[in-house]
Amino acid sequence: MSELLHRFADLGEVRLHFVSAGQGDPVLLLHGWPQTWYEWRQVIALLASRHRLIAPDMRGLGDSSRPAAGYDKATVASDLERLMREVLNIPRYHLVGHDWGGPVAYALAVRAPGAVRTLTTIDVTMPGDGSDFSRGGQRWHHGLHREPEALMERLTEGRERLYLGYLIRLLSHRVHAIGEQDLDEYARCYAQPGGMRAGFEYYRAIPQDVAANEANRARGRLQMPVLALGGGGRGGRGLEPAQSMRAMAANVTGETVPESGHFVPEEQPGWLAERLARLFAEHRE
Amino acid sequence: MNEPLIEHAYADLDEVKLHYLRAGESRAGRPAVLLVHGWPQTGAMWRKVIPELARHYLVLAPDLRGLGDSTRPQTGYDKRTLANDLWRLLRSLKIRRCHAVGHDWGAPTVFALAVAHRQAVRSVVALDAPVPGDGSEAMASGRWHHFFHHAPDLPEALVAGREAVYLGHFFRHWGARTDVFSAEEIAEYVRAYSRPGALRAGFNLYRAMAQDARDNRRALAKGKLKMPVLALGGPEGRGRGKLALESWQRVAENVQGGVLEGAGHWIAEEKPRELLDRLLPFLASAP
Repeated sequence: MSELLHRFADLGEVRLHFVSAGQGDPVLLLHGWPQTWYEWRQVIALLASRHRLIAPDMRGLGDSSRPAAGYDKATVASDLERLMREVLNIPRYHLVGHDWGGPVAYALAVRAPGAVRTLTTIDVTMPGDGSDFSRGGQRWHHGLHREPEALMERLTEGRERLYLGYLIRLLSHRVHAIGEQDLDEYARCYAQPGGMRAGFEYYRAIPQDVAANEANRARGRLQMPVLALGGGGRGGRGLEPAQSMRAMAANVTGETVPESGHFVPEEQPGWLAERLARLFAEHRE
Repeated sequence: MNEPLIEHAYADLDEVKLHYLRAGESRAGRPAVLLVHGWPQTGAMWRKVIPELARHYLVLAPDLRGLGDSTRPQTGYDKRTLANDLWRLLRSLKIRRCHAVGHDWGAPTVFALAVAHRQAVRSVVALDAPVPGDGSEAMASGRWHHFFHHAPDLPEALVAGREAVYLGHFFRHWGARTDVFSAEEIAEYVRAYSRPGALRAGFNLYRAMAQDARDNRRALAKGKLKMPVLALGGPEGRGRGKLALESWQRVAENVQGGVLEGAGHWIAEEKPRELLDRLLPFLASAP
């Protein structure tokens, strides 16, 4: 197994923690909430013989620093664009985003279309795709996380593991895929001062993201190949991600991941690694 | 003029013991008004309108099953069962007919009472709440807390010990202003919901919504309500605005109302005088 290298990139306003491993065509892996780079650990191990993998903790999350502001996805994407271009000197790469990592990946592809060879979004829809991103309150954690006066910071303080664990189980098809030790790692990160706040800020920026993406759509659709995956089991979003991406990109392949809920990289790492390897092989330099 | 006395009373209905506030003389022929609270409140929410209503009516303001100082059965939080509790309360007091006023979940409860006892309910007043199963998605649409409260066990786990944080948030943000309630008033509701089982009972009101919608659709198949209905919504804050009237128009034939200017969700506590000015003529004109 390839060795994981933990490093930090000081970008001034934010200090990003990122993990890298392997050699080959570079791939940038963006995690979601309530997770960190760690959700990619198995996918990294499976792809490291063929690819150079970069898995950062996004602004505010994991072991990256937690600025007070800048949680709209365009700003988060600009951190990552700088990481790849200024710090790592990687001009072109495959881009994969799960959950909030998906809208961040889209924003990065809009910002640097020439750098992104392929874009894969996993079990997430795009704000501003023309539908109601929070589904009329059915995605209740959106509204709850966005409440003012730090309501959720106060309700979850000291109960981070309880809350994250509940949601992970709720949205998992294979409920044992994320084990107690894995949950400890996520809880360790989110229980740090400001960890929950930073996570909720991703939701509080939704109106900004909707406005930005509506403007992006008005300028035209992405042209690089896009693979949009949704969990096909309980807790997964099925073909919703594909439907959403078709509003944002011209060349979209939509598929569901069998026997997986929302947490595809951990529920079906083998299936996902194989599918990504195939996509990357089709779009080599 | 003396304020009519508000008494605390209890009705033992076997499965549940209801606590209720009672005011006004119960002399023969005097009409009764039933005031039904919602979440996260108790019968105390009617304190500002009871004194004047009690000059004309026998007023009963119960704490719903599981809430306030009533007992907390494990089950029965569908509105049909809650309404049956109220029906049994009325029977225990030998009250054959009444006006029924409901706020928030109290309004669907009043609907369930009225649809089950169409002759006994003289008129209905619904404050800032639609009816589940009215043929629209109005009840929960756009309101995350409906879906959050529906999640099994989670809201109890997050709110336990932090009732003041969570309930206080609703009291601050669902009205027209953040200072509708005094610290003492909030403390009274927090006290009521901090008792063992009270949070669960309150969230169960939401968990029963699918059943409520089914029950209501079945009841409406026999026809809409025919007694007069006054439906008012709060246009400010996170009040329901015109949604309340629109929903009740789908389930009743004789509906008036609209919005109560200046109010958010907490109509009876934000605008008690203006509410009474709508309520008293409406009740007086009902048959």
